Amino acid sequence: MTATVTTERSGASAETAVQVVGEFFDAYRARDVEAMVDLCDDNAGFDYIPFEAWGRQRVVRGEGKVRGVGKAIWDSLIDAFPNLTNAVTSMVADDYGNVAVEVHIGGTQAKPFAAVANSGKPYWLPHLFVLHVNEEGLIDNNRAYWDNADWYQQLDWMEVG
Amino acid sequence: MPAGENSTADGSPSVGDALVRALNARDLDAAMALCDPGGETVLPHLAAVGTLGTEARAYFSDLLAAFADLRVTVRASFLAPDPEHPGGTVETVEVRTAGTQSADFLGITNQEKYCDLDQAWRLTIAPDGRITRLRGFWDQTILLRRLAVRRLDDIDITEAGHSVTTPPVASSPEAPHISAAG
Repeated sequence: MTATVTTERSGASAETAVQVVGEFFDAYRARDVEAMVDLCDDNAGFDYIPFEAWGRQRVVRGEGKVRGVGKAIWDSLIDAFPNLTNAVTSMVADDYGNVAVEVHIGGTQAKPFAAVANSGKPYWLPHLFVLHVNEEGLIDNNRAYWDNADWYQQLDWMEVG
Repeated sequence: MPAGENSTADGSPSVGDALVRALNARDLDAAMALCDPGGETVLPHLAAVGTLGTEARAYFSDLLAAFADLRVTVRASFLAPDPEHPGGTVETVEVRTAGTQSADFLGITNQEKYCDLDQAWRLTIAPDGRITRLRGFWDQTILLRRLAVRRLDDIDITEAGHSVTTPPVASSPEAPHISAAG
């Protein structure tokens, strides 16, 4: 069960939040994971909702901290898709630091990624990121949604699990 | 105010909360009354952009019909000005839908499985308070896994955007598997 989340009621202004999150996706587009992490609070939360790793005894979810599971996922994704890029299509923010970003992320597969064999194919996938920027101007929470069915079909991977 | 709920300046529930309340009351007409029927919707199982009056209505109708005990819980939400439409707002609503399948759903054969699914709705709301665009984000593979479908090629997307599945194919539950993008 994914942890309960709450709506933040304090944080950066909308103007600051949009600027910081814009810089985050610029760094992602440059495949500069260190810069992405530097834009986040030391204790920033990370929750990639569709990420599920099914093992024999348990299910591991893409949930934890940016400086833990988050950095590991970003590094491995860029390793498997070395031309990974993104295009932000919409960004909205309130004056409590909450930001929602519609963004397409994609690249061409060059290596296996997790259970997905290398197809050599490109993908281009819509995502929704819901982030929070604190009063210090740092991202302190990063949640994302996407559809793995769309992603797998683009990579000719048909296993659901 | 419960965590995650929004309210408007006059204290009434936000449009997103009203949509959730209508679904929990199993009142499809009340849910659709919040929408401009000519507005657009983008949902993961649809092959193309649909309309709120047709495709979104069909989705919510199918959801209510297939999960007789459906509960929708708001996990978080916030309102923001719509930069593309002056006077409008965008509400981002993160919800968990949960229930036990009791009828076929989007062509997925009913195996009476319990399913919970975290998803996000991005609602574009006109100054008159009606939803003009609903974009849903969720992972179809998690939905399929919860409902015991094992392979994506058990699902076909028709021109009308409705999925059809053959009976599910059993596979080893022990095999490690990772779902990831992002």
